[in-house]
Amino acid sequence: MSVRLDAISRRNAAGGLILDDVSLEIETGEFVALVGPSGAGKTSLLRVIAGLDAQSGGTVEIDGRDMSALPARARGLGFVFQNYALFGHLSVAANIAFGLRVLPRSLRPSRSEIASRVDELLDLMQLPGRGRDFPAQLSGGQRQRVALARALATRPPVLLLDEPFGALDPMVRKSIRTWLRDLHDKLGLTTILVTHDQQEALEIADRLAVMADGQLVQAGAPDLLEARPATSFVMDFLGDTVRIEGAVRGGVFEPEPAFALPVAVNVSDGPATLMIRPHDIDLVTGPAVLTPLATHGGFARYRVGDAVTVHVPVHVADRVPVTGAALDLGRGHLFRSGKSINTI
Amino acid sequence: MVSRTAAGHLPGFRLALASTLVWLGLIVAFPLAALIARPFAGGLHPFMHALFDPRLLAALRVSFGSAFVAAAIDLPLGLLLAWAVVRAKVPGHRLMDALVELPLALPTSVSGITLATLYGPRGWFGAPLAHLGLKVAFAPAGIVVALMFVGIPFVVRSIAPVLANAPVELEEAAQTLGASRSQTLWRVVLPPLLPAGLTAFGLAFARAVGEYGSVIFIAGNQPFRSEIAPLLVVIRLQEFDYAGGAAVGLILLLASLVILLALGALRRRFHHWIAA
Ligand SMILES: Nc1ncnc2c1ncn2[C@@H]1O[C@H](COP(=O)(O)OP(=O)(O)OP(=O)(O)O)[C@@H](O)[C@H]1O
Ligand SMILES: [Mg+2]
Repeated sequence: MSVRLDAISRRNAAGGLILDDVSLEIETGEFVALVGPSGAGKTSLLRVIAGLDAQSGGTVEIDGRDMSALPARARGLGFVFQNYALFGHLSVAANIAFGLRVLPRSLRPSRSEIASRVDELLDLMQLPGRGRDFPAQLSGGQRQRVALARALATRPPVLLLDEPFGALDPMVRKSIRTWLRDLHDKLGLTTILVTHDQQEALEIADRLAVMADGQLVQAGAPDLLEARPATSFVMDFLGDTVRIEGAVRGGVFEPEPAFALPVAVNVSDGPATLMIRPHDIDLVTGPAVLTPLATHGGFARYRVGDAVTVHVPVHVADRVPVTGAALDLGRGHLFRSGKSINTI
Repeated sequence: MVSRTAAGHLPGFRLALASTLVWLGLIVAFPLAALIARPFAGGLHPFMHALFDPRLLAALRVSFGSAFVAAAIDLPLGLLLAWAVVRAKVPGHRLMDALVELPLALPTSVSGITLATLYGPRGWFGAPLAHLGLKVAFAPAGIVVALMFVGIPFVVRSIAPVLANAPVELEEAAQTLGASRSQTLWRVVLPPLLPAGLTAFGLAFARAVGEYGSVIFIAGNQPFRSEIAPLLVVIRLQEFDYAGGAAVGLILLLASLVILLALGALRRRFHHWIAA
């Protein structure tokens, strides 16, 4: 089911805006990763969508229906908390069955139907036979899957996940995320996932939504964000960056370091920051000392001057000037006060 | 809980352990041993005689019965009080919080006399109750009232910290799963309080079985009806029937021990709930 957020805002008790005019449309079947620095408002937004917190303005529509007046229990969305929030006094099976058992009698499946649904979910979560265990007896990754199974038991069309893999080790995270994406496709879900992990966001999501200071900064497919990052955070989030301070004077960006070449740009005069991926930097002959570093992942790495690291694909490494170098920054992005002012 | 050996980590642990055990022996074990030995000092016969005294059996029934009822009523009342203090934060909850321990600090005779006055035929509570035909003071119900009064601090203090530390996400998770308020209360909030509730019940019950001072002022103390076992100990001693007095004490001790052990065993069944 589609999710439509229209001009959502929320104030905290002190009156400060923690969500500021957030509008976002998510199509049925889409997988969106919600990213942003700590304190950006990701959890706050997810809680408003789920109905756990009320917005101060704007509307939440699910499948075209305005949900704003409905409490969380009536919205029927799946929600997975960062710390799992499993019921410690209930067995794994009873945790999973919870959403079915609290249904009104007329809608509640029979005992045997609930039991077979629980078994089905345990299989789906690759936890067969663990139904009698208690949450305290499971590993972190297993608890995570139980929390997911519990949220999915009532077949919610929309799944909201708040950093669900935060506490897992990198290997487990990697396998669980591909598995989650498969699950999303198999069940035809619409999913919003909050994450801090760039790899995770890129690998799992159709689209990223980037937040900062309570605002939605940019939303789009990863390659769109890579091509036109709206803020320096987006640029930083998506990969390694080299950051060069400088200023624009008369249509030319003049970098501070002497070993970087000026770049012709089309923006007004003033201070600016250029950000560029290490592999987008071209090396030309120039004044700076070039120190070779270890080769890694198909890139020969060099330190230029005493700060900047450049990645050069191994197959063109023989074209690197050996006597001395300068940086050609023509493929970088220019930012002023953290906001994009131009792609060069 | 954590069961690693502490001996290797704490300097002076063995010495501390040894002196603790010695003190524990002097303070707890010796008097208990004396209590166990004393009834048999004059041979088995006087003890058996004291044991099957119908007045003693009646007093034990009154004592354990009222202690059970009082602890059972204290449990929901204490839960409500704990809720008001740590969760609802009702106006004046800080004062309420401080007042909870007052029954422990008050000399029990003062509580007894106060309660007897309040619930007496012309007291604030007693008069309207008498109007309804209910007699509390100087009747078995008075014993329960007095025992409830001394037991409730234990219930509040056992339950409040658990309630205060219960993660609010659990209730939110229940809501997102479609649970109504009452379903959340009964299925998510209350069950984890069960172990603490058992502890609370055990403490309130144990305190109530041994309570003497406050009860005798309000109970009426009629043999076979509203006479508690601790009072019978005093009466036997005044009659110079030391074996009889000690026999009552021993029965109280053993019965309480059995009940507390049972509660402990029940509580251990919930160990796998901890730390989810
Ligand atoms: N209950 C609250 N009362 C007041 N302010 C709050 C409350 N919850 C969150 N905030 C504020 O709202 C802002 C956004 O918080 P939120 O938890 O949504 O951030 P987040 O993006 O999820 O961060 P993180 O990545 O660290 O989880 C923060 O500045 C935070 O201080
Ligand atoms: Mg958060």
